[in-house]
Amino acid sequence: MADEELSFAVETIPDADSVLMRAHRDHFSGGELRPRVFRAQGGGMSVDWNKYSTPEATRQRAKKNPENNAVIRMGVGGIRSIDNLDVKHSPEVDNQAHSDVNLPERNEDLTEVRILLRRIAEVVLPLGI
Amino acid sequence: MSSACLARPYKNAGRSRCEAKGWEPHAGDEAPKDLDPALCAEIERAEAALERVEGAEEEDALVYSKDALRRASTFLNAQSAHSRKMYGVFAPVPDIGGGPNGSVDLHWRRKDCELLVNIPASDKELAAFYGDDYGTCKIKGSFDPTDFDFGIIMWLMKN
Repeated sequence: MADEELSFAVETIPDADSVLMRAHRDHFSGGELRPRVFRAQGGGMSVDWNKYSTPEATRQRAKKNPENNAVIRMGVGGIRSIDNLDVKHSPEVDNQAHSDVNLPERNEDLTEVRILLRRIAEVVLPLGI
Repeated sequence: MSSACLARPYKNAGRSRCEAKGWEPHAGDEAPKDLDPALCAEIERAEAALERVEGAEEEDALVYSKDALRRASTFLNAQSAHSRKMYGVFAPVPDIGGGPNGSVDLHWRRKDCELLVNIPASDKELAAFYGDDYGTCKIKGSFDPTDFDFGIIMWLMKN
């Protein structure tokens, strides 16, 4: 029974949807978002599917000092148009929106992908608001 | 104080080249003309940011390797001096910040091109770079940052 309580169904995320991600103030310089915001944590880069989250909810998931984070949005179709990137729903016990973007392991490819991701990222919740 | 700015004797001991106003080089010291004050200032900003981040203990803050930052500084100073020698001007100064896994990112975002160089935390790994002109002209690869391959900066200067 416990397992049933823990599990959300894994769904396919449509290209037309978006994902949200926190961007710590250290990832900005001169008012610009920098490519350093894009990095894997564990298996992939953690994002929230906008079907189950809002920018404010994503910001509040920071374990410490959420006010030090902006929130960015990226179109799923845009992410999938970059090399071999994909976005997969990977819900967690306390976060149905949780999803992962697979990032390349080879540093040359990761460096390219980080530049391209930054170009499709849009700040939807700025710092300090 | 910037480690990148201490390679040669400096009469304002205890102060960095960038902090000291009106500093003058020692007689015969050729280093200052090859040091870009704007680059020194950016390196010092990155060093200060690293110290602040180390104390922040926030999960989304980026902590990067001091050793990688030192190697990045050495790389940038060499590139800048080479640019001054070849083109008569210092190379554009990048934004310096933490990258993935303790690495350091050097990011140039200009009107006509964008370039990202990643200096790994380990000195046994190659640095990686990617740049383009927002169109079809792209450069991508890896290099040993201690070899001072100047092709990357030359690409940046020509764009």
